[in-house]
Amino acid sequence: MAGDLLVLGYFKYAGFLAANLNALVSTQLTVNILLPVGISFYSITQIAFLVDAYRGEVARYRLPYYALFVTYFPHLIAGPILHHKDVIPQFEQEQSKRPDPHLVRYGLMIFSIGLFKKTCMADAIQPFVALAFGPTPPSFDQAWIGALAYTFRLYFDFSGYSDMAIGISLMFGIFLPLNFNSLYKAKKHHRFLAPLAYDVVAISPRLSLYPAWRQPARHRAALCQPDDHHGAWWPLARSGLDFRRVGRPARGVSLRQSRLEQIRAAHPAAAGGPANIAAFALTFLSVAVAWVFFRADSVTSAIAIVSRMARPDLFVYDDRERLAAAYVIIFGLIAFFAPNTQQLLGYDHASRKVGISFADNVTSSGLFYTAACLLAFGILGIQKHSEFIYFRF
Amino acid sequence: MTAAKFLVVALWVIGAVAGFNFVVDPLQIFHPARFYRPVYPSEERMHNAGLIRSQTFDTVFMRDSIALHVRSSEVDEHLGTHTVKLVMSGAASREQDFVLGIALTRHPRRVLWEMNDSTFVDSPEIDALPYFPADLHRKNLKGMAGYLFNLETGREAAWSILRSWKPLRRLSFALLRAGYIKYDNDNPNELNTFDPALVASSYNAKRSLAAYKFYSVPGNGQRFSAGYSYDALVRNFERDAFQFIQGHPDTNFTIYFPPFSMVQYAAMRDFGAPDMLSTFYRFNAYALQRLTQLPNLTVFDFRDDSDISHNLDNFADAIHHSPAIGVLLLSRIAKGENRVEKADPARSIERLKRQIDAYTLPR
Repeated sequence: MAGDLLVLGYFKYAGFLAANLNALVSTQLTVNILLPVGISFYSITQIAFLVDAYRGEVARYRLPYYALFVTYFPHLIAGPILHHKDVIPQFEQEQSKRPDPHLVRYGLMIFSIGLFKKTCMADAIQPFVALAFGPTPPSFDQAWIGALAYTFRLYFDFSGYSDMAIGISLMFGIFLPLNFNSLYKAKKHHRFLAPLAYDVVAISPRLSLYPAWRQPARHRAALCQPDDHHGAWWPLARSGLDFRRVGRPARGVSLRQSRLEQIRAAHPAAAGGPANIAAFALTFLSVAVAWVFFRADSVTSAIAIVSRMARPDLFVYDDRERLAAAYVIIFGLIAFFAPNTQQLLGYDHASRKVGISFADNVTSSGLFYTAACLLAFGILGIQKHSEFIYFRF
Repeated sequence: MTAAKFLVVALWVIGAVAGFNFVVDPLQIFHPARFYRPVYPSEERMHNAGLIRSQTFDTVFMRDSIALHVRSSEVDEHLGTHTVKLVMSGAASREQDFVLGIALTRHPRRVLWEMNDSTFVDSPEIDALPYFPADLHRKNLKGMAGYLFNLETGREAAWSILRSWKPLRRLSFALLRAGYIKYDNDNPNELNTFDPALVASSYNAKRSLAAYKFYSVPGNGQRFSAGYSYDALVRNFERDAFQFIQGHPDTNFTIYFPPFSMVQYAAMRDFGAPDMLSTFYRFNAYALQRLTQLPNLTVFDFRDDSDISHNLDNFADAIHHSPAIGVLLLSRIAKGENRVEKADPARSIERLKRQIDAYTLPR
């Protein structure tokens, strides 16, 4: 574990430490390190493996399967993080060694949807992010539209990459765990780290990276800290803190089931739809504001943008803002109300099944041809300078 | 419904979009617009690739942003030519050389080339420029694939047609202003020209002097002399100008050096690197002497024209002269004024040196 952490720490933190050292004492220290692709993923998966090995919970895997597990390429760039108990047994199965036409077909369809989300949705809304984060201070509407555009840009980027990873893996007959369902509808942020964070951080007191606090606090810490996986960057630390704060104002109208039950009990008339919608809107907008601190170049510019979000007297709403608002609304409707990829295609990681749940042939062939068109548009939408947003994390 | 069928359907859709892009060809790379009124993107490095192939011309007007707003029709009027103008703001000589090389495959009889010393600073290889569509200009397989198998091309192609339908015209203007579609000009003569109503507010002494103030900020002066070395200027001039012109003996070249405001030279003197002005004199004397040796070339130098350079109302900043001055220079070229003579090529530079030495900024 120390070896893993040392290597990960060197590649991810040496430059960060040098920069901070220079800022503090002007050492003129320069560290130029090329970051190996996927180092976070294979370091963390190996640490998880070692934790389980220490606890005697590891079967005797053959070395090629272990090596394949650590370096399994579909997930290396943007996740999800794999657990050996989930993946290596799949590698060992005989049926995984032969192409399964059913899985190849569905893998292609999932990949196509992911590619479309990345190149035709995330990249399409990207130019409007500049409305808030451009060189000039934004107006009220520009600040909100730009921040929301960035919120959905992140969503479709991650969602797209996750779908692509799952789709590619499925073509090889391997079911990867889901990164997340519909992130902005989910009760917890950053779900794709959660299972592993629980296992590594929370469960073993001897190997815990955090003291044995109360479970919810430990959970929040695991989810919100600028952790090893995401690397070293001050805006990330800032946004991590922001996300921890986000829970507080929203807590009174939280979506958490237990709290909702209390509200319903106290105010049976008001706690139905409107309260739920208000809670949802408040939480979501708080997340969008927190992203401003993550995306902005500096704390000063983030504060400037957020302050403009509270200035409805500064209003532009010209053609560009109208178009951007239309994009944000359409993308929001898709993110909140459209079924996600796994629902559309019946992807069930737990039972190792994939397939459209409804038997209607018209619907299934419609999805087949639609996914084929999405693959075509996804390929045609590939831009030379498409940003790989994961490097910001 | 097999995976193979899935891929066939996807390939069919990709082929259909590429076919549509080829038929409409919004940049007119393959053929002139046939069934719609063509529109051009204002992005210079994109529309040049199409203009070279779609326009009929006997003269190429190559320039950077200094002569940005001169129209092809104004060149034609003064010089009796049929001109295509190829503008690239901020272009180094390597880019100009590359695009001119493509344009000369259409065998024009004349090249009018607005040139200045700063274009000869070092620049990356043409394929290393992230904003320059080199393969589109080359019209090679990679460039054509990037153009045809592209949703953005498809969007512009669709709107090139749809905008001619009256009910959608208003929407197309709104989408243009919003930046959703980028092909915005249906008259190649008006590409990158200037709204006359804005001239008075854009070209005045106040703005020229603001440029001087900008250079006076610590750091800005150093930045503007960065990379301005005699060896680099000479090396790039020899490759991109002298050898290029020498390699096209059947084409007549007319090169002119436009006037800068005296503010520019004052800033070089006061805030540039200590040897910046001496490098400027040395290089320009060398370049003019070399250019006048070429038989297929005529050179004009307007930098020592004090009527223009001392009147700061002619400029939008330290270097960009007004559209009226652009037209005035054309008329002078037509009359043969300000021509650099082979017998005394450095005369204009020596005159300019005396003007710079004596110049003080207006209070």
